[in-house]
Amino acid sequence: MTSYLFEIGSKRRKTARFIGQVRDEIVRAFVQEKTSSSINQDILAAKLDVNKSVVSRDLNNYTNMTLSKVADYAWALNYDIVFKMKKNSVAVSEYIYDMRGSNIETRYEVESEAEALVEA
Amino acid sequence: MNATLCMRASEIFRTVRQNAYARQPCGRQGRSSPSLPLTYMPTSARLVIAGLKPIEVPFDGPGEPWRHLYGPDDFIRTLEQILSEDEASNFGSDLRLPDQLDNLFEAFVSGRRLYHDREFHTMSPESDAVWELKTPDLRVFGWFLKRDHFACMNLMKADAAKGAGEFAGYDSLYPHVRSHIVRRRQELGCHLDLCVIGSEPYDVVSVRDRL
Repeated sequence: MTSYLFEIGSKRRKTARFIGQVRDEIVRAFVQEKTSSSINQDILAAKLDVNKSVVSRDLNNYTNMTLSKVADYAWALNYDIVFKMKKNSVAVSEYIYDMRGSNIETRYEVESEAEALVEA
Repeated sequence: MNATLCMRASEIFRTVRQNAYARQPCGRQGRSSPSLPLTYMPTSARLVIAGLKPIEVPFDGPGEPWRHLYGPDDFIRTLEQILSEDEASNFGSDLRLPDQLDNLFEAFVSGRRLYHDREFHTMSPESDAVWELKTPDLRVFGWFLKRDHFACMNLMKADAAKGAGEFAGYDSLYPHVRSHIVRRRQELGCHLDLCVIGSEPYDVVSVRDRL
């Protein structure tokens, strides 16, 4: 059986996933506050003194927010921000992924499993 | 060897199918079809027969991937096309289309919560056990083979799916996509026991930090 690796490159992946994770964290905090209090996008926009469409765009799309904007959301939602850099311990596998690129690789164990079934 | 294997497997597939009796299928179009009692087969071998390949994304951990993605060759070709075209967003996202997909796939396989309320819907149920995973620009349609195992069948741009943007004036493709997936699922023999029925997210996915 073959599998397919969807690969965009380690540098680009780091950027895209960081933007995605920041957005996910803000959405998570907003959804949590929405269920525990009466906050909605209108209130959030009013607190931040921006149009509701700006909030909608930030929360629904992956926008490359400035650090001050992230801080504004944290303030409006009454959340703290935790940001930490740590040494990447999987540098070798990152390298391997880059070397493999987007390709289809063969996995023989599943193939032989299917073959055994056919023979049976 | 692959071609021979697939041919022989499909012969068995047809024979078993002819002798099968009806069971409760997944999806309305399968109600009166002959069933395919494949439950004795290991899932991975059944996926080979159905032509579904595992789709992997580089996984940053911790641990093993929590959920799994699969797709047929035509879906993988569409992924390759998205990668090679590398288009920018039409919906105000700063991430290009391949980056959006990487984010979506990573969020899926890592077992993170997928938002599904009215305002935020990374994941939303269609009828007939067809599910949609979405990014600002892209829509992935498919069904769950079993909990946490998603078979991707169609990938299309959001404006094409909705009949909006440059596709304004065209009908929404949602009903067509849904019936296409139901039909394809039936052809692959997955509607019987490789299909999760349910419209609630926790019918079809578990969340890593909840378990």
